[in-house]
Amino acid sequence: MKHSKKIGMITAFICFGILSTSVYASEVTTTASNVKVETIEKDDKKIEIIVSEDKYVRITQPTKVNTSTFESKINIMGETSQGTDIVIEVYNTKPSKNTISKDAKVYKLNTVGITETFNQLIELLEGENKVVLIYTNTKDKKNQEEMIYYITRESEETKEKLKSMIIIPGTRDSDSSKSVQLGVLK
Amino acid sequence: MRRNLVKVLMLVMLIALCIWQIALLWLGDMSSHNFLVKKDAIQNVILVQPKAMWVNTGGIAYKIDDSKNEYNMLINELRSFVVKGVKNSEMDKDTDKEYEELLSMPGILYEYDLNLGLQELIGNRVADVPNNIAVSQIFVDMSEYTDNKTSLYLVTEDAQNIYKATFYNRLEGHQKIMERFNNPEVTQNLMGYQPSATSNQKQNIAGNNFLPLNTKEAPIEYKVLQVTNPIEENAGAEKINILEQYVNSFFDNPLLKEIDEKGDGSVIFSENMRAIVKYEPAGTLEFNYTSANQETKLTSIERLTKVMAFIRGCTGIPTFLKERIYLTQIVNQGEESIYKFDYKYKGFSMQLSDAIKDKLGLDHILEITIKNNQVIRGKWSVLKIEEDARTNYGTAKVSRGFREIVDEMYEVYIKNKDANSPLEAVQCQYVMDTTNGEMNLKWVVLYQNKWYYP
Repeated sequence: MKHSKKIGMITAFICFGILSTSVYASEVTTTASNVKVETIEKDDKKIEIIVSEDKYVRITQPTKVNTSTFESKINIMGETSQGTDIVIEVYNTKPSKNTISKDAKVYKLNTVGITETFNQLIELLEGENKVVLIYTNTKDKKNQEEMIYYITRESEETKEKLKSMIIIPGTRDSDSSKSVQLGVLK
Repeated sequence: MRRNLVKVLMLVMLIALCIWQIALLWLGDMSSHNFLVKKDAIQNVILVQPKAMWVNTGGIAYKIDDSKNEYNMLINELRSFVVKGVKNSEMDKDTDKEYEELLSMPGILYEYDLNLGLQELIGNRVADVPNNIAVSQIFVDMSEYTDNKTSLYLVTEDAQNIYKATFYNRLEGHQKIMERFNNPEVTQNLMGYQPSATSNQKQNIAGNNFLPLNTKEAPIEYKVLQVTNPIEENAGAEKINILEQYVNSFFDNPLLKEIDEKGDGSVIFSENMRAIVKYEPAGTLEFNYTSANQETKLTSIERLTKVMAFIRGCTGIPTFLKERIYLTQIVNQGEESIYKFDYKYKGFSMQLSDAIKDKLGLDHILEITIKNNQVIRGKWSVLKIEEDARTNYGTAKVSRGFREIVDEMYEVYIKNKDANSPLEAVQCQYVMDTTNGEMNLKWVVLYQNKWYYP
């Protein structure tokens, strides 16, 4: 009886894992991002970054093509060559609609300086946010090149649900049964 | 019979008055000789104010406004939490967490300007509170929402050592603040900060600085402060009268003190060579006790308690200054320890420009020296620092972001982006560069021990 319960639990978890992966995969195909994720080594640690197709621009935050977060703001950070002009446009899909809004919030950044870094705090609306990073550097013959990736801001409802959720039933003595890691989704 | 009773009562009253008068003449101000009051009344107040407190949502950090009640509420909650729960807590001296990892976790960070023992930070001499480790940051972990467990991470100034203390209780107030800052409506109009240690400026800035995410479109709006010397607004007898209110508490019998007015506007008050108090028209007050020093050695928390008790009780230190100072440095020189304090206004620290340091003869706004168990020397600014009272006046903006500042430092001042030593501090601070005029918020950068104002 005890064994069958365990097997049932494991099966449920495997199903959940497979389903969530397929949802993630379908999102990738529907969203036309044109960036790559690369693993680099920094300070003896392997970290993931997003790079443009021509590898001219590297984004160090966020580090996923499709990022999920509860935050209403995110600080986009990256690196590229000195003298590059960057404009970031953010388009939003409301959770109730399927179409992406035509109105974008536009952020014009200062020209990249000697430290070859850039950053911009962007506001996120609930639902999917399409981030279009346009970069220009005449010296390096980069003219209005685009990087497209997505950040999904989860709703407050989901957050509340997650907070009250019991993750692992049946382990009454374990602290983890009562806890939800709020920092998991960033 | 009745007449005799009245006579006896009058006699008793006169004897009581005689005793009171003799005591007053012998002892001066009797408040310091009141043996009925518990000497350590200060033990249960906040000894050291943090330089700043941050709510880290996991990505972006927000500063907790030190002028609001919640600021002291949080400090008091943490103090009593540690004192009550320390007996049953667990201390892990070998946590595998790295500093950058902590700054990516949701939590509340207490940031101090120097390494201090936990007893000093908590402001309590409870024997169970370990004082053998000195830390400059306390991070209250809010990443795990558990019913009866809270983890505190204690971080040393160089962030090389991190200790984890687990308490089997909850910090309700901290939890509420955390939830509030997780509400987008609350943070909508607040300035967000990026910890430099988790940013792409990690290579350029040493340690961690919370970098404001301000832009031209969303600048830091701040109040321009006015600096004046309230004493120099008066002259002659009126000036002396005002100064006496500052200095009388230093003397056993203020009526017998000597007053020496110098031609340059400075005034020296002294009493039988026991205490000397000097006012400088630049805007400082300085005292020296020349009496024999008792040789009782004090522990570090006892010394700090004594210094803080002195500051609280000293009428010569302006009240606004007492309310907004934080401990920034302790210099030990033989038997003497010098406690140096800086000033902060609405969460922004203030520094004195080099010219003002020279003019005032002060490195920090308040410096107190203790020898053995006695406060023997002190010097501070008596300059008034206040907001401009006129409406729609005195608000200004800082529009340039940290990246422009870091770029400018490497491009204009250092002229080498591959310089071996990184910038030591990149912050927005009030800079006092006049003793009579406006004081503004500016970007300040510390590089190779020198302050730059890009």
